[in-house]
Amino acid sequence: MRGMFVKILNGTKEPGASGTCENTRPPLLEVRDIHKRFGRLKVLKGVDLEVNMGEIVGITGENGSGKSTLLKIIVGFLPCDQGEVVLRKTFGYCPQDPLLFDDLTMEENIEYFSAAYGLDQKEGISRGNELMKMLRCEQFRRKMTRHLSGGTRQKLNLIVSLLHDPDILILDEPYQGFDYESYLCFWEIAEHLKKEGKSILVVSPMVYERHHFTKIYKLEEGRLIHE
Amino acid sequence: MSRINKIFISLKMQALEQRRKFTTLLLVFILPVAFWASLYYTASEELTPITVPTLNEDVEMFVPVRKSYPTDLGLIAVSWTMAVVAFFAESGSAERDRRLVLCGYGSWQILFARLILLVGIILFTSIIPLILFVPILSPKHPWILWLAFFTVGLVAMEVGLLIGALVPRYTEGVLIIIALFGIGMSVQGEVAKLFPTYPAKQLFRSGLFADEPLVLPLVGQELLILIILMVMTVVFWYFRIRVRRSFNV
Repeated sequence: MRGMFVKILNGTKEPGASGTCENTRPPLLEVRDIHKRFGRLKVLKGVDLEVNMGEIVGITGENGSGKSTLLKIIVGFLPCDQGEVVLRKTFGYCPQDPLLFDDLTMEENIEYFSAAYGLDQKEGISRGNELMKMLRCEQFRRKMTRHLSGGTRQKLNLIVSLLHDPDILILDEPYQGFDYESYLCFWEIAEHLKKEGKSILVVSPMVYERHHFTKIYKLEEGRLIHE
Repeated sequence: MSRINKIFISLKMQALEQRRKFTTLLLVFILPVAFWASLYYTASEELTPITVPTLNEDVEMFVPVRKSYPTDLGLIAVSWTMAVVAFFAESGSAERDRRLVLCGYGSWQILFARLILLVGIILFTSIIPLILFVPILSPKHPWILWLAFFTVGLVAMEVGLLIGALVPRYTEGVLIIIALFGIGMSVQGEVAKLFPTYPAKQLFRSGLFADEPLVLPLVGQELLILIILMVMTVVFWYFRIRVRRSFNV
């Protein structure tokens, strides 16, 4: 069954808030029996995953184990060979390689992506400024993206995924290149979002501060193993 | 935010990107013009036969060598420039455009904004060469020269966009553009008719030498090629940046 399907179920916006998983509510993200192969190489051999409201879920695994492939399938960048993804409500995606416009400034990138999300100019810029302050990079707002350091580019990459205040954040190695302060800031933001009832799916080859996560999985030989 | 606003913002951002690549664009434009100028001034004054389309029939005329093949090469300046600019605009931002689509942009909105921007650049790049060509070549119908530049620019833009949608890497894409426009403008005879810029080349000759120039059929042919290329570009562009998901609202 090729070429399917990520379903986005945008129902009416439920009040966030509880910060805990409520069994009566369906998961915000459901991944069922995902298979993916590249030529003869089977990368994913039946991946199942659920992310509920207010959860921070981590996926770890070796380089080349298929973590980024799984995220690309979840958001719709890649088709899978078999399986199904159901995404309920809005999501934000932060890819591993920052997909940003190098010949635009940070502010212009924010304005462009705000327009993509359908935010009006003032709302987008104000939200962008807020996030730049939180991630301590507002001094670079008028700097061309190609001249930013790797860490600051990654911050902008993260800001772009947060602009529209999504219900679930899908992050592929979001803090690579961050200094320690920024790394702490990231977790501060993540915990804040969790309290608001948002969910976060983080992929990273290494997970250090395990207490932040509700669940951690390891992607091994094409399957997710609960740790 | 309305669809029109989204197109306007995409247009603004793409224009800003192009403006910041000004030096590259200038070099892309100057290189073929310098090539043409060197050929023009080193070619002899001897007479050579060329076929010129006129209103009633194709006429064989004898013109100085420096006014024959180097004049065809003049079109390279515009076609090469537009193809490369369009290719860079598309190929360089394909993955970023996909992210925009993932965030909510329609792929057609980005492409439409790009087309508006590129047509604006074509208007500019089709007028500039006239400053050089009109005094040097003394064409019989300067406006037809402009029309030839403009139509060849449109076709070249579509070729650049199509290659950008098909070929993911810069090197391969630029080599294909060089092959298409360099060879296409230089070859003569029946083979030359296979290249999409052939009608513009004929239009150029007609405007330069013919008393009664052939215009509409040649412009019509070029526009037909343009439409075919545009349809192909839209299809391949859509497949290149689409996000594979089914919405179930």
